[in-house]
Amino acid sequence: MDGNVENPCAASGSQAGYVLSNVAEVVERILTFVPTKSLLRTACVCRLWRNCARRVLRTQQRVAWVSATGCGSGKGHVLHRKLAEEMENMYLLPQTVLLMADCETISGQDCCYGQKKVRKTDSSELALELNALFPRGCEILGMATSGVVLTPNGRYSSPPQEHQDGEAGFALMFPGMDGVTLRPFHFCKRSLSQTALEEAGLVGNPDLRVVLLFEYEAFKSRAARFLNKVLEPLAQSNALIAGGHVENVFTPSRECCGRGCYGMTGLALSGSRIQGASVLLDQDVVSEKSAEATLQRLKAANIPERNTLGFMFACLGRGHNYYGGKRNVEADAFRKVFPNTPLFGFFGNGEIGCDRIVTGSYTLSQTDTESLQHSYTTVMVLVHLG
Amino acid sequence: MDLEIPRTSAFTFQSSVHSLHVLRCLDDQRQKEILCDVTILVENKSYRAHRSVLAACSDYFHNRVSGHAWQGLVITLPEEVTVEGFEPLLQFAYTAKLLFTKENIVEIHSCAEILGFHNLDKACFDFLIPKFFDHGKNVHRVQRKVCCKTKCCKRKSSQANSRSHSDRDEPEEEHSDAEPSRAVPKNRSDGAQTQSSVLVSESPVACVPGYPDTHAETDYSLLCPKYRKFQVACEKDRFCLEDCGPQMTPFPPALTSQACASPCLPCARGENNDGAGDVCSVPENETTPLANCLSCTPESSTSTGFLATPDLNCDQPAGPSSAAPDRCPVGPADAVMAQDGDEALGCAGNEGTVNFEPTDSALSVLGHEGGGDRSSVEREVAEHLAKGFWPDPPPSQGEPLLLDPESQSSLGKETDFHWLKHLDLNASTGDCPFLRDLGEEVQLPEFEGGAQPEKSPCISSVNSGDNSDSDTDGDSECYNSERAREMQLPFPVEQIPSLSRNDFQHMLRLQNLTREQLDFVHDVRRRSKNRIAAQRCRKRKLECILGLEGEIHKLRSEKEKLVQERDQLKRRKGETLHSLSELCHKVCSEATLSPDQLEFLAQYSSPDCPASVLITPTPSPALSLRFSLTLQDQDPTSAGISLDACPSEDPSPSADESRITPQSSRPSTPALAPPPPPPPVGTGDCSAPDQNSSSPITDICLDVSGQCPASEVSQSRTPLPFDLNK
Repeated sequence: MDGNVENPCAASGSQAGYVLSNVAEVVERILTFVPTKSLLRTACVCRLWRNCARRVLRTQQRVAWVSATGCGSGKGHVLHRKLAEEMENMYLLPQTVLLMADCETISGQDCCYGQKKVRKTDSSELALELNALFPRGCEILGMATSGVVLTPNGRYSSPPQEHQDGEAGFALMFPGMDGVTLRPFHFCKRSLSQTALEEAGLVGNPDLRVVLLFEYEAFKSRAARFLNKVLEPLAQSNALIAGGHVENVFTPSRECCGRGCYGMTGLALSGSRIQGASVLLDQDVVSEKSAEATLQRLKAANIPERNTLGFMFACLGRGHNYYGGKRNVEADAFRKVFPNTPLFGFFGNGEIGCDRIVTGSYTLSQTDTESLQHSYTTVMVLVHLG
Repeated sequence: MDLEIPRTSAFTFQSSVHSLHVLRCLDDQRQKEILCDVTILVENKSYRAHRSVLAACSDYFHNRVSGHAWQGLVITLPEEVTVEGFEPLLQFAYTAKLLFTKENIVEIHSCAEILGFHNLDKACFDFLIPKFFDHGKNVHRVQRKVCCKTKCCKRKSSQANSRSHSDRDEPEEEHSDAEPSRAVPKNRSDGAQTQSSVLVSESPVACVPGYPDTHAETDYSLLCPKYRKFQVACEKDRFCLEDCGPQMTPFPPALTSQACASPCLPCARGENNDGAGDVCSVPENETTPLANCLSCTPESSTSTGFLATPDLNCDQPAGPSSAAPDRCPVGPADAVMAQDGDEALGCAGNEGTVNFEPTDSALSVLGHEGGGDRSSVEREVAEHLAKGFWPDPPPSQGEPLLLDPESQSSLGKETDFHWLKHLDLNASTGDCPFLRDLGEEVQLPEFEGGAQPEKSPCISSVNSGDNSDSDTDGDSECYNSERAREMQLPFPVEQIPSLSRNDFQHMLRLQNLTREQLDFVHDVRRRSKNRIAAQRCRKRKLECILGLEGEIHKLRSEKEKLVQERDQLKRRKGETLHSLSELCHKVCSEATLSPDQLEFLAQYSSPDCPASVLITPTPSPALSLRFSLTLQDQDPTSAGISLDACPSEDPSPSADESRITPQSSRPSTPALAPPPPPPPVGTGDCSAPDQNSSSPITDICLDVSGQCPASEVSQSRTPLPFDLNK
């Protein structure tokens, strides 16, 4: 909040005040060191500062994230507390937030069906709190999963961690990016229709590059058919599709249909600058070595590593039990192959994805379309945001 | 459709579907063979296509097609390009879609690299190949098809287009980097184009070894499958073939044949190469053209035959042919012609005449000659191929067919393929020898029907030779070098085994080799390493054997020496014994001891004392008995001798107890005792007979002692008491 301190100088008529109220270049330079939340506040000072702040905001194009793990003490989820702190220091104005947290702490004691009521109140509260945390107009995609994969706060190169139990969560914040359109979508059995798909940009959108989709309550009787309805057109498209089945989605809140209904939420990334690639670590990938070999294929897709995010959607059945007690195998393999790419994801009940490359100049995908849904696999995705 | 309305009154209309539509129409045209102006021959299949499309898609085609106005071109792709790999690529060129399967991805990859296809990202192969081949256990997964779709054509905005261009550039560069062979052609093409205006000048250029395909339209290799092998055998030549095609149909093939036919035309070849380098711009120079003329031949005939098709090329041959005669008469050509003339003529009758009418007689003659050459080369090639692919001699009946361009064109694919044949013509046969084998059996009958009548006599004989040779001839060195030529390695084969492991790897890395080349290089290296190891092993064994033999020799001589020494010792001992016994007799006779005295002496002297022997005045019978006893101790057989020597005794009972030790002989004395008495009876007489018998006795004694001196000594003592007892 240095800007605020300097503010009165203008009144004093000193040299500094003059510069700060007239020389845009200087102001702009100074403002680049101001966290976004403060920046928005300083934008209220004068027209010059507002313009400068706007320009500075526009330069904040990189994705940022907040990850939280650990101690179960205190009220609310650890991620929530961490977010409240960190939001003061973020250098971006989030427009879309992808938020994942372990379902145990989000939804109360456990996630079994009988505890639905407890969970719902809990998560709706959380949703409200989160909405308060993030700026207005920011779309939040919050979900509870059985396990979380996250990269600790801060640097791109910190090693990713798999958290299959314990309190953990991350919030991945996308600012408004030039050439990248992020459109969250949400369908339930009532709202799903062709027009809804088109509106969400999933159908008839030639620039669609990556779709991350998360289905909840997927064990419900008609959920499979519901999912297929969405996946079918997507499989035909040239977009990269990845995702999985999560336990619960707490935001956007689902007023449209009753609680316990199946549905789907997700993110559609479109924009010609986006590139992506995904590989499937299928059931015969059972060792560190084979996991790494598969990731090497992902590397071979030649997606630029700058401004790139990694996503990992794994099956609950994988993780340390799958690799003979070794923890963090896949995340470590990812880090080994992509040392500077942050990795996020979850452990879910089923995965959606395939081997695919989507770049500006070509797409490479399997011809048969039934191969999107898997179990006991891990889908590794690279998304380059231009 | 985007409608953009700038402030000025100019409007821009941009269609997003136009490019797609154009491409689709082109594809339709291709499928209906409308407006197709090029034929591409891959292995045994031919494809019709549009030159412009191909040139736009691939550097290779661009280089070969650009700058030539002829229509009805025929392009034969290098042998590395297989049907399996090319077909999807052609489809890709027209549809922007590429289907990969486990079976074809490798082929597609190599073909795309060779042909320099644009917009085909290397990453796809890096991404998929490990999937297909590392995780290949899951068959069902593997067989899924993967579709690669290029989106370039869908670009709407100009920006997008520009970007796509830039995208395109990248892969291109990669390709060119990855494929040195392709890069070379580009460079060459420039030069070639500059010279293309002058027919003659160009041919030398084309001849430059390693000059790759710039603009080859007609491919002779195509015409004659044999040819292709033949080309492969000598890479340079092949390139020449392809290059010169359109302009100088007669020449380039000639060149190739000539170069290839090294055995027949060494001089010509040398000239050719030199000339090519120097004379590019000077068509008048006689030497090079000569060389060309020499070789011009069967190919030229074939080419003309081919040209007979309604193409512009038809006219073409006249030019070159006219040029050819000028040079023909000069120099080496004659000599060679003279040599080859006879058989060549035979061939010519079959091949050349029909096709060659428009060209000059000189050319045709040359053609014959070339035919001769070629046949020899072909034989070589056939040998390799046979060696390489078939453990059993291939039924190469179809070959002769290949020589004939017409038959080839008619029978087309099948003939081409008899080498690489397999059941399914659609699939590429290039790689799998097994399939080929199968295919051959099936298809052969057809060939024979069509082929036999046309085949030229000399060649058929050659072929028959092939078959027999292919099995017997196992000279791997020659095989290597020839295959090396076939593979067009950028470094000499000899270098492969001589390099250290690190250097070798380094070199491989430097030279971007195709998969086949790599295989070949590794193969060569392995073979030569094996050979060296085997040689070493053999040498070691030989050395070992030599050493052992020397040792045996040494031991033998040692043994001989020892035996000699033994004999000597034996002799000396005998002498000593003899003198001793004489001495004894002398002493006895001189002392004239009474028997009592003797007995007394014997009693009191210990039997062990040697002195006693000397002292004892042994009567002759006693002596003889003593020896016989010792003999018995030694050996029952020798006992017989002793018996002979001493007829007076009858020791047979004692002889039976063969192992009579000196001690045991003493108890036996009583048994023997009775017989001896008679001699003592005539004690007085005994001296005389004793002297008589002494010599045989000593002889026997010698023998015995030789065998066991120790026992002999003891025995020599033992008898004494016995005698004395008497």
